[in-house]
Amino acid sequence: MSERTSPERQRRNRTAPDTENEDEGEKTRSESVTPLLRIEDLRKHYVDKQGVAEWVLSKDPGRVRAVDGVSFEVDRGETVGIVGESGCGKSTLARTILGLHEPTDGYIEFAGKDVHEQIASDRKRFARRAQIVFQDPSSCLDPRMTLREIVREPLDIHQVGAKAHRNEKVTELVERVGLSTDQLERYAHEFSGGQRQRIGIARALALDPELIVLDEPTSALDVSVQAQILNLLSELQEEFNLTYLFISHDLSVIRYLCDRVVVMYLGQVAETGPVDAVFERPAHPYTKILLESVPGARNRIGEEAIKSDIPSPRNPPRGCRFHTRCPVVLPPSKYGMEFEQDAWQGIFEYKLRLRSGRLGRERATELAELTDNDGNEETTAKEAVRDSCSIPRVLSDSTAEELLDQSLSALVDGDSEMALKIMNADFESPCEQERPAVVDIDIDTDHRAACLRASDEEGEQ
Amino acid sequence: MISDRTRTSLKKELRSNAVATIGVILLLSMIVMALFAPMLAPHDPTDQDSSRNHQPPVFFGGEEEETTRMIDGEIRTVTESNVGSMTHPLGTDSNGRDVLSRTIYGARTSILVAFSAMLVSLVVGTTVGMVSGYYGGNTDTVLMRFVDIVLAFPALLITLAMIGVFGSVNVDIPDPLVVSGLVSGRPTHLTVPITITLAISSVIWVWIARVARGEAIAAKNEEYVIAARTMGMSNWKIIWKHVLPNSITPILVLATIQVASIIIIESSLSFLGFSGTNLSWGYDIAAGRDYLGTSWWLSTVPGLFIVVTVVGINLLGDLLRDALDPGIQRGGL
Repeated sequence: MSERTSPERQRRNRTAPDTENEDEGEKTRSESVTPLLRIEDLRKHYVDKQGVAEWVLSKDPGRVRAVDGVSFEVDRGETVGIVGESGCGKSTLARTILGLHEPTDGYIEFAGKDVHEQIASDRKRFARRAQIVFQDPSSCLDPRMTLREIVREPLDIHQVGAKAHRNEKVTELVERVGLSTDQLERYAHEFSGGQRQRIGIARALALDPELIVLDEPTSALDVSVQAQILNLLSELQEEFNLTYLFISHDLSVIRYLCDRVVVMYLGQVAETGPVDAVFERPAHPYTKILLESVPGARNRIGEEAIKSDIPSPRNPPRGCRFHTRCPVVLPPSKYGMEFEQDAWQGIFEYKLRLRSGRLGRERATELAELTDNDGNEETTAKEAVRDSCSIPRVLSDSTAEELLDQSLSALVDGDSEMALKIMNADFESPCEQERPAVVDIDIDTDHRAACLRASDEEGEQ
Repeated sequence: MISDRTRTSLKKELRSNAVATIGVILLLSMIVMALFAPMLAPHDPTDQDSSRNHQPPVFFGGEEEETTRMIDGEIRTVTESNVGSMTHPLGTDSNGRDVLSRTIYGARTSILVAFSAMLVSLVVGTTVGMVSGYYGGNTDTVLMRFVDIVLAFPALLITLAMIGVFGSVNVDIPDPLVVSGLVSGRPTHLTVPITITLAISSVIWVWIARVARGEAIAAKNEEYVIAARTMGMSNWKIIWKHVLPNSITPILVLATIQVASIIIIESSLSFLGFSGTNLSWGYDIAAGRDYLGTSWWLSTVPGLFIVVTVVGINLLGDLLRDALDPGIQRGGL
């Protein structure tokens, strides 16, 4: 991706001539230019502690798949944003990259070398190259230390220069992040949230790192303070030639600061690409929903936004992880095109409700009672369920109609299991079956997404 | 480790809380009593005289009786006075030893054992708790199950077993006040009951370890600890510089309160006859038990001193808890 530089990035690269060779032609996708950070199929699972009973029964311990197969690259001097809802594995990803967690599987390469090997051989050396700024300004600073002690701590650990030199450097850093040097002897709790975040940044900068991971650095701050911190961060990036990995759930912040963005959903990458491309032409339905759910966003099509609750990373959905909430799940291919248009969404909704156990005989009866229809009890109930899921009374495809009717009958008879079985067997979406591969949306900008619809379109092209 | 902030809030708490002040005064007077026992005690606590045994405290009556005695080779009838007097303000025991002096000296044993056992417990318990909580995993499981085993037995049982196994080891150290010649006619040595101190520590440290572990677990997930790790700080250093200072408050509060229970355990052990020294509150209570019906003061006086010390320490514990609580701390600035 190195040759696909935006004008902005080219400007940045000029300040860091060693990072990228600009003479390198368009055609040679040079392997000599290594990205600063390369993550390949990274997995981090939290395996439950196994009790004696489980061990005796040799039961497989449960696991939370916090990060489950993530790959992306970060070039020198650029800012890559990682965005996603809470619980999608952003922070775990960040901490695994910094070697705070051991990865379950996969590979993290920093400046051409495996991070965990670097840490195993010399943790301090790696620490000088990659640092982190945390989210919570109230917990990121030791309450028993003064500003001076906090900022000097990394210098003390690495024994940088003599004591006088360290103090000088502390003063310099504190001034650089916009704090007054008269406050050097104050304790952490005497500062405001924004000031504390500045202290955190000064501390991360103390060792002159190449990469700084920003783990939601502004999410606990007021909007006005947020803007100040973001400006400070982009100034510092230019001044110290920093590479940022910016984690946030706030799309506007990502858009403001980042060159590229990685959209994560349930531990996997949904979409990745340059910020402008992803925000203007989102290719993954999840990205679209995220963008639409921003208050005040222009686009208001997806009013209903996201349908159901977020599935648990402990037991993620099969196939595409987003299919339980996706508004555009692919229909099974055995029914005609019309089928998709009028009925499929409703049928899929019906199936999801069955699976989650929210729809059963009792619910069906309840729905039937709400209608005025006095006809046959069973028919009324079936129609009520159809209406609640907005499935047409009669499907255009006769096979589909027959199968759906069978399922509905089973439901009304109280055999929800059978009802679900029929649905699973005959109305299975490709989205449930296969995990979508990451496909290129636009090769030139390196815009990619992991959605079957995107793959289909690519195939058509 | 004690910041200016802590000092300010301690002072403030001390000023505003009268009960706490009483506790501190009580405890301080006990410590002063223990330190300067040779000067404060009116008599030698080991000086026996059967002619003045069972003398009640002053103003508590007593009797005069005529007995026959052999004096200078003749049998004479003498009046023996057993009325409480200012010479022995708290009376005398069955061997005619001054109860006040014995109680003052008894404070030495109790306070010495209490503080040294607490020191040992603090060092061991905090180390184990910090390691257990910070490292977690199997280390934590092994250490904490051991702690659970110790906690499952009654404290007195374990200490008795340890004394049974190791015997009673005591070290006599010369009393500086007597050796330097400032005071004369007092016992020249101070007995430090080593076995008892260690036996008590072996049951107290587990409480400290429990609390320290909980605090370490809370502190290790704080972002400043994670930040220190990304900066490349070693685990031991993180424990020392970040985890311990942020966990010490509840540990100290617990330690203060445990000092009170150590004093009670020590007295119980002395009462049961394992004191290693006979200048101890517990020993005196045990010795006075036989005469409870007639000479109530023998057990009551050292008993009262135990109560006063324990109450004083508990009040100090409350003071520490209030003063070091971060919620109250903020108000102090």
